[in-house]
Amino acid sequence: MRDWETWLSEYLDLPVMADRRDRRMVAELAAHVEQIWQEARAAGASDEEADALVIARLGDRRTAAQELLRAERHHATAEAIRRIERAEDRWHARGGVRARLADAARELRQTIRSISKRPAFAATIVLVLALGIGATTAIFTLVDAILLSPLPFPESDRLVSLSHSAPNVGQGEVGQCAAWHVTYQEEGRVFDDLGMYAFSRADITGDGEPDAPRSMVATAGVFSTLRVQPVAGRLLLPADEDPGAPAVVLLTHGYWRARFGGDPGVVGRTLRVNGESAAIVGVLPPTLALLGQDPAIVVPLRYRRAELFVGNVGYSAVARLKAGVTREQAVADMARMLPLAFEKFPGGPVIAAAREADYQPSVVLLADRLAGGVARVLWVLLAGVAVVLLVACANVTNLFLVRAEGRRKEMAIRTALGASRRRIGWEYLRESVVLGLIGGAAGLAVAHAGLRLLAIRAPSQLPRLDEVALDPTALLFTLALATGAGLTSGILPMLRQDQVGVSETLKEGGHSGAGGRGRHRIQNLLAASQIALVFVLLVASGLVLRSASALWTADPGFRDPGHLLAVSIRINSQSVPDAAAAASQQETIARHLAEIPGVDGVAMATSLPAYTGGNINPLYVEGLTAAGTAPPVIRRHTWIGEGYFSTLGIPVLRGRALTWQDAHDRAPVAVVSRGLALACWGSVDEAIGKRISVRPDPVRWAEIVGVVEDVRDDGVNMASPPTVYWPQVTAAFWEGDGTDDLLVWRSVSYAIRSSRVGTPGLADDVRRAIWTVNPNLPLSSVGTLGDYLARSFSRTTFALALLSAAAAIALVVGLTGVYGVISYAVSQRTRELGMRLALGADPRRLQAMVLRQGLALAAAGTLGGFALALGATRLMAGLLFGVTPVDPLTFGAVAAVLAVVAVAVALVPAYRASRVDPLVALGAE
Amino acid sequence: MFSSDLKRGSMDLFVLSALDGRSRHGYDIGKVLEVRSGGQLQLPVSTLYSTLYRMEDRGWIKGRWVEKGGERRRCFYTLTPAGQTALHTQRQEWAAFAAMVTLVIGAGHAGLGDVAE
Repeated sequence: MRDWETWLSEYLDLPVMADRRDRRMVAELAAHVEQIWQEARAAGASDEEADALVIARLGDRRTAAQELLRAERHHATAEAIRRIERAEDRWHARGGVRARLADAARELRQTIRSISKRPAFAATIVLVLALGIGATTAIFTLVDAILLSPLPFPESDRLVSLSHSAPNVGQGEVGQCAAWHVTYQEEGRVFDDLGMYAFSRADITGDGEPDAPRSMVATAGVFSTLRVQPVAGRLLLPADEDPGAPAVVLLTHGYWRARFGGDPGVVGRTLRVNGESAAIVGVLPPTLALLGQDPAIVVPLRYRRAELFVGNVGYSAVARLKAGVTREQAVADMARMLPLAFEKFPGGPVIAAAREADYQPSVVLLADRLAGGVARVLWVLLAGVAVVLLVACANVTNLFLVRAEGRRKEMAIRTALGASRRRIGWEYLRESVVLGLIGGAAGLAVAHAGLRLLAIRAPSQLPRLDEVALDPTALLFTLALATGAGLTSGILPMLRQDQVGVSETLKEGGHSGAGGRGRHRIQNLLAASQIALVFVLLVASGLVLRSASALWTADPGFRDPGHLLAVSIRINSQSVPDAAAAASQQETIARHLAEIPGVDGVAMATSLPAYTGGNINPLYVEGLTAAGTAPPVIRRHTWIGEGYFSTLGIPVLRGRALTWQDAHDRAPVAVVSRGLALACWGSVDEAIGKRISVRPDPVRWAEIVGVVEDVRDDGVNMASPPTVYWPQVTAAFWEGDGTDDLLVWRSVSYAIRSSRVGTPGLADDVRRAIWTVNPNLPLSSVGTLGDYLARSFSRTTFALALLSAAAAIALVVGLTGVYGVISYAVSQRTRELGMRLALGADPRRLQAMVLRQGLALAAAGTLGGFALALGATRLMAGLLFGVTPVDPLTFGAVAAVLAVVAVAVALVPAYRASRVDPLVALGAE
Repeated sequence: MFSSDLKRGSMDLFVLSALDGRSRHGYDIGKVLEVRSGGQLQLPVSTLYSTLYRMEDRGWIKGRWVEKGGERRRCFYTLTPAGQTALHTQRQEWAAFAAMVTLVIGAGHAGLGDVAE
């Protein structure tokens, strides 16, 4: 006897059945086919013939299996619902809160059933809301992590960054100097603690290839101010700041992991830093990376108190305010102390300039300082995605309105049968809230994907990116958004439901007649608002696009940065003590580099445009700002070798460039930028032969021998700083008076112009050329000036990408909304249109009529958007470059584009309107 | 024979009518339908049972296991009151529909004459 159950399960490939009902199905089928088989045998068929009959009666085996499984799934759902219903009944019977919960559950179930009856409608709403909510959640998460959540330091709301500015001499924000630091420490009444730090490069030599990572020089106060704890060993102590103390070094968390594999035993070992052996005393926690620049090591900032002077204001300062002290009080106390600094430290080379400059203190929250310019970008982006969400909500509201309209008759009948209108209204609201929540859940997925993409693509200036994640705050935010979106989209249909008169609706017979106008007004208004919001977003991204293109095409002042390879070296005084010898090595390296095949020129300088920060110091101009007459101007200073201007492609406007010979002769000569020449003497020609000095007493004049074109040193989005170029070697520059008091910068950069830039061989050739001169020189910051230049506008590019994405989403959603409204209007007027056509109306005129509706919506929306955008784009002024927030071209182009797409979107319904079949239309209802 | 759409659309009514007045097991239902239709209605086994299960979920029929001496256990289906009502309604609907279809397509009513164009 055959086991029919097993045979059947295998033949139909049915999954293992666990449920009682499922097993019953197999048993029944088995009994059935067995009977077929036996009857066939009884009628004289062979075994094979009986088998064939069974198989024939089972039909196609895949269809059969599917049919049975579908019935089972249906059963399972029905069973589950029955179980829920029974539970609801039980709870209901108990009364009180439980009964109310049971009611709520029943209503929710009804709502879900009602939603699932219209899957396309539900899917559209969920998709639209998911895009809006997802984009908003993603950007909110960024804003929350970067701008809103406190820094990961104890009581971080008391942490501030100190800086100074000298508006009198046209000096923007500068940092801190050691003299002020000591003054604030000794005289201050508002700070619990303060520290001073700066970033630099350090040479790490010894084992393996020489390395030149970023380094931080810091006072012990930096760490006690932040109240960070070491991961291993200790942090810096005030004693480490003494220039006579043994050399120590701290490792940052990242470098400790990368170079030492996170070995805690590293404390106590030594590291050769800048040619000097330093003991590793501790490892910093990862949070310190937040101060920016991502250094590898920290060395103590050392100074002799007796040698301090007011000047050299390039340090950063962090302080912890005493509890209860406001930033205004801190500023006032600093202003009180600044004059004291001159009494404490009356000497120094730039004391006169510093006195004249009349520095003003400023105090900002450390968190704000670290967020920097990114804050503006993020707020603009958040506003942008909020607009997307608004468009999405307006769209969904319209969809609900249209659907409510479609169900008016049904609802009217239900009202007539005794259902309260309020109850029906609540049904709409429940549906929209449930859909809003589903949209929110989908939005979370969108946000998660968006953030992962952001983490890969975000510009390096975006700090604290590793802290960005969908945390409970983000979840709460999404929940609030989703509920809010659901409520706002459902409230209008609900309120309208309250106003619909039963008898009119039934009398109207559901026709769209006169009563339609008032209802359509709201839909038109919503569609026009969507256009208005889309307009604002398009204008915003248009402005950023114009800024980006202005940045890309802006003249940085030097030629073809993509073919300039930049590299920095530092010849430290341990390996080459003599300054003149170091200068000579620098020159020899330049000459070696120029001999590499394919190299067209080599520029050597203390700083390169867009690549390294420059030196900023006072400048005295003979006849203008000579000691006593007027305050000196504070200008940028760059020391250069021969071939600097020709290699970078900076035009020499008048006179000559500087040469190696000038350096050899210690010649008192200089070249100035056009901006500086114009500012001081009014014309480029006048500048030649004039004299300038960096020191007032005793003054040492240098003659201007050339004027060159301006260079956008700080990035193409920044103004060109007026600059003085000095020969590579100068004598008695700030101090001393003999020709032996040489000023030679030990850190210099080279820019190598070659068509081979980008090919792997060139960097190797460059290394070899440098190491033939001095094998101990670590190379740092190897890259093209083009790359460095691009960094200066990565923020704009980032904003552009995100705003464009937001605008694109809004455009699609908004246009879908417009399409929906027009196409619905056409479908509602089918009868009227058919009648017109039957009476001989020209189909083209009907088309034009529908197109006009599209245009009218676009026009109304554009007008509203125009007004909104005029206000909104002002907020992004700081993001723009080379374009005003009310750029007529952008506004005009966006208006034109919107008009065109609105008409394009109206084309389909317009075509349909002209093709209405009068017979069908009149019989339609 | 008949298109499967036509048959599928009438499945519920077929099964309900087969159970009218007495309970039957699945094989029996199939047999009754086959016999009553003069052999024209041979349902695939899976269609028959999925229809039965669906109708049971809807509360129209109820299945009950019956064991008779020496025979295999069989599940006998009986109409519930809801099933009775459904059968009644569907029969009426079907009769009305069939009459209307006959009226419209004109078969068997030649005596009324053609409608003037």
